[in-house]
Amino acid sequence: MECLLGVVGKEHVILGADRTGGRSVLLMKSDVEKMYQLSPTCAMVVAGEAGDTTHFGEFLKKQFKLHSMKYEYGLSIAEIADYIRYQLAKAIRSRHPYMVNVLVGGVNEEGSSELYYLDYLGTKAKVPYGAHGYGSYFTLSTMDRLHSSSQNQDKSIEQLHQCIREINKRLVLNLSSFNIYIITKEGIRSNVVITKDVLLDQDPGLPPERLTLMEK
Amino acid sequence: MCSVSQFYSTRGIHDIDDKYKSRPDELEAILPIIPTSSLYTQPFQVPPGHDPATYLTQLAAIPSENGDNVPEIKFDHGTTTLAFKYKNGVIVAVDSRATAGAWIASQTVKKVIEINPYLLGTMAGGAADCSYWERRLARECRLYQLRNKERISVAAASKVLSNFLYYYKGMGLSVGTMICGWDTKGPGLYYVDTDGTRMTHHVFSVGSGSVYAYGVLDAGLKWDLTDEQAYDLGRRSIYHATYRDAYSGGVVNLYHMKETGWIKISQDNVMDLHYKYADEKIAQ
Repeated sequence: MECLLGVVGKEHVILGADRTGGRSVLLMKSDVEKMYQLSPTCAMVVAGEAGDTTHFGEFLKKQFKLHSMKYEYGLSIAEIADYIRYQLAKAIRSRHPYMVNVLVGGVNEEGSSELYYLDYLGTKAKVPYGAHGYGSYFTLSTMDRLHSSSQNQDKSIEQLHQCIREINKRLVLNLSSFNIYIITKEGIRSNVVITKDVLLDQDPGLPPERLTLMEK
Repeated sequence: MCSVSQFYSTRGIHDIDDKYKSRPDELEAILPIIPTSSLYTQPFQVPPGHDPATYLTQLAAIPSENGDNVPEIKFDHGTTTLAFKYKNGVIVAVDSRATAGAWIASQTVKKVIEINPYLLGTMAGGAADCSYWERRLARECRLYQLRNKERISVAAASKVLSNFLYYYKGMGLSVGTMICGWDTKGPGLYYVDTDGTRMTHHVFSVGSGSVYAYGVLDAGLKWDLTDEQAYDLGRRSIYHATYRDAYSGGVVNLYHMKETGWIKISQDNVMDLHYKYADEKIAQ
């Protein structure tokens, strides 16, 4: 029911996460924070089983915080992703697996940007763009069409907006509100994207006679 | 080793159900007699449930789909509870019905758990799990206060409970609770359940009747409600949930969390409310 999005561009990564929270068909909260900052220039978005998501997120956040306090050097994005994969792979072979899917994105010290797709089974893939959840069915093709790894920040943000619009147009579920996180070597910025009224009957592709019918 | 019937005649155990006395073979199945060494001539008898896994399997009425006998002890699964914040604090309202399947086991359950003068918890899911774990929470909150010379925050208290429940995740606990309180940050309201979910918001409703309660609550909720309006909204939301949800009913218990701690506002039978609201509708 949840959706995570991620795009890599030139010297930046953009992550997106819907803000829904609830139980089964009931929406209890629509401003849930699903991002966990793992270093000044690295963050992950988490979706999956209720409870596991927050505990996994907070656990990793504190592990990396502890690491940064113990050692002088920071971790690269690849190292962070490796450690997260290790934790997921360890958990799936234990009696208490973390049923969570994750996107990890960040910018390395030298400026290279990376995005990792991780799932609860312990799959890890370095990707130029990725998505988790039902939203991925609609958005991966959008990104296949539009993405280029040298694109600038505005292009990436617009691309994520395009994905969110598509989700709201085609997915039955109500995921109208997203948080997006812009990660650059300066740090992480976030803002909220709220989509409203993306209705099929307002499609600009409708034939003109249908449009006039709607206006009446 | 002597038989169970001999054991009775020599020891005279009184506190075991009579039906077992007449059927010692059944008792033997439930009360295993632990083999003793030659040192002891008398067997050592233990109460039922000394081996919970085996004991619970015997209680399982219907084998589940995958064949294993998982005990179906479902109690108090149907419930309506709600809590919301407004300018003067937090309102907590709950019904009082306990059900076990289609059976109404009680109409007088106290589903608001008074953790301490500044913390309330609500009860949805397993009644025993809720009362036990919120008692454990009360203990932790008291210890916190003794150690730190200040009251625990609502955020911290709810996290303590959430950590308890997450530790036992997947082991059959069933708790859906709202922790309401007042601390240095003002009114606090958290939802905590056995999935390990913990979240804060200005309005929550939990239980099988929650969907109906939300319908009324969302329509009438405003930050600037007066105390009386807020009490009425809480009461009405629970009443309407009890009207639609067969697993909710009894009385509406209403609490108000203020800066000075909680106070109990009212307890109303839903039938009385039903006729009161009906009369009001006619009068309009």
